[in-house]
Amino acid sequence: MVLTAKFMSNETNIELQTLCKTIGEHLAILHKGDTVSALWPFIITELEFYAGEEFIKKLFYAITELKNKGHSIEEIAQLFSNPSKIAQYFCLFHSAKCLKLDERKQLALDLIDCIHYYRKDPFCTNKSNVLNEKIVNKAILNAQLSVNSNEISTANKISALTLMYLEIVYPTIMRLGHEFHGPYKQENNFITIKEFYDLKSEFMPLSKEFPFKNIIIVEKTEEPTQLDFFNHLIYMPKRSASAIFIDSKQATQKEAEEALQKIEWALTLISSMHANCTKKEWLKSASNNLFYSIKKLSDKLNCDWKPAHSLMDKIENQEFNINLDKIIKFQNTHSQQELQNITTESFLSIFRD
Amino acid sequence: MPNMNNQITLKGIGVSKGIAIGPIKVVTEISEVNKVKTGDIVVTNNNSPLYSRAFLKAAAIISERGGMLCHLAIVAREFDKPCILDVKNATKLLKNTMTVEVNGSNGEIYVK
Repeated sequence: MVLTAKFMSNETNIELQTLCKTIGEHLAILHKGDTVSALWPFIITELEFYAGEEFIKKLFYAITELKNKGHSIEEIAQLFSNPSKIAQYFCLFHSAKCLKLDERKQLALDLIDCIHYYRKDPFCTNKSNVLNEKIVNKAILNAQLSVNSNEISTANKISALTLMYLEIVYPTIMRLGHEFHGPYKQENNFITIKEFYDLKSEFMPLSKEFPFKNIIIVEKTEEPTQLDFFNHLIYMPKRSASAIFIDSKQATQKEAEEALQKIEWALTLISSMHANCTKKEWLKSASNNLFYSIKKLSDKLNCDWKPAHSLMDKIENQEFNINLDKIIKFQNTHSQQELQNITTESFLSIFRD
Repeated sequence: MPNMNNQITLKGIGVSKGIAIGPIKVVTEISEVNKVKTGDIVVTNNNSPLYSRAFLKAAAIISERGGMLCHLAIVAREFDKPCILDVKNATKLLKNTMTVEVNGSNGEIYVK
């Protein structure tokens, strides 16, 4: 979407309003009651405090330059690989205030268009993350599923443990490692596909211990699953059948059980290694992972994707000075509806002078 | 349906459906993760993924922290295990000597 004269004024267009309302609604639910990572609607994480502005500038530059060189939004969207990763960039959008107002609006609208390339409904307003037909792998969607309860249980455990692993490797930016999509109607049932990818992060030494590069779990349910804009699995009905693909190959039950044991063992090892990781090391890895997520855009422009050395120096030397106690008190004294309104308004202010 | 003779001890946000009955295992330190046995009801004040092995063995999970969309809630739904979050003072009020019934649908915990 190209900004028209109307959007370049102080008005906020309907897509941006929907975006801010969606973010407000989901983040209010997410952060109410979760008192450690909850910094919303202020700086969402320490990662944004350090890396937010530089990342947003790089993202804006990359998309703008690619468009200037004649690349379509579809071509640019494909460089991101999955829509929830793009949605997650909006969590860093308070840092977009380093851009001019029109630039902020343009970047947000371009990102929404990129999400739309993948999703039928970019904002998941119907609590579903149904991808466009051209995106969905038909062989996976129509895979042979097992109704054996042991196999379903093994798949559940692998999915849960892999999610926990991602929380360690991609803290606060987990959508860099998974996309849950669906539900896809199939006769009287629904299919949900849970894709875990980039499980071996180049910048997190711990991930060398993880045994697989990618895992896909396909699940059949009688009721539809529910997913939100940020790819949170809101509702997971009882599974009636499932299949599991490990490193692009459908696994037998024996292979799945072996994989579960390997993942459990790796997670134990990674957990103990992670406990010895300093916060600065963690932030440097997270920053590298964040910038690495737009490597394909930078490569297309023959640019270096890496963050500047100054960012690593900033992490090394600068203190994160947010008053967490004050924020927790603020959250505890406001209702979910109030937090939702405050968050929505906070985001809308990004798109006003 | 819960046994109405049981006392409702605590209440939180039920984030993953199901009912489980088992002995309480309070886990507030990483060193306590190894003490969790299959079928325990894990009670914690820390939703860290470093506790994943405890959650894997647990029959149900109770935590003092978290909400409907927090990571542990999503993981519990993946495990298909009952989970109740935002239970105030759970690690102090629930003891390792107790057996409880956890109802992940309504967020209620009953001491047996």
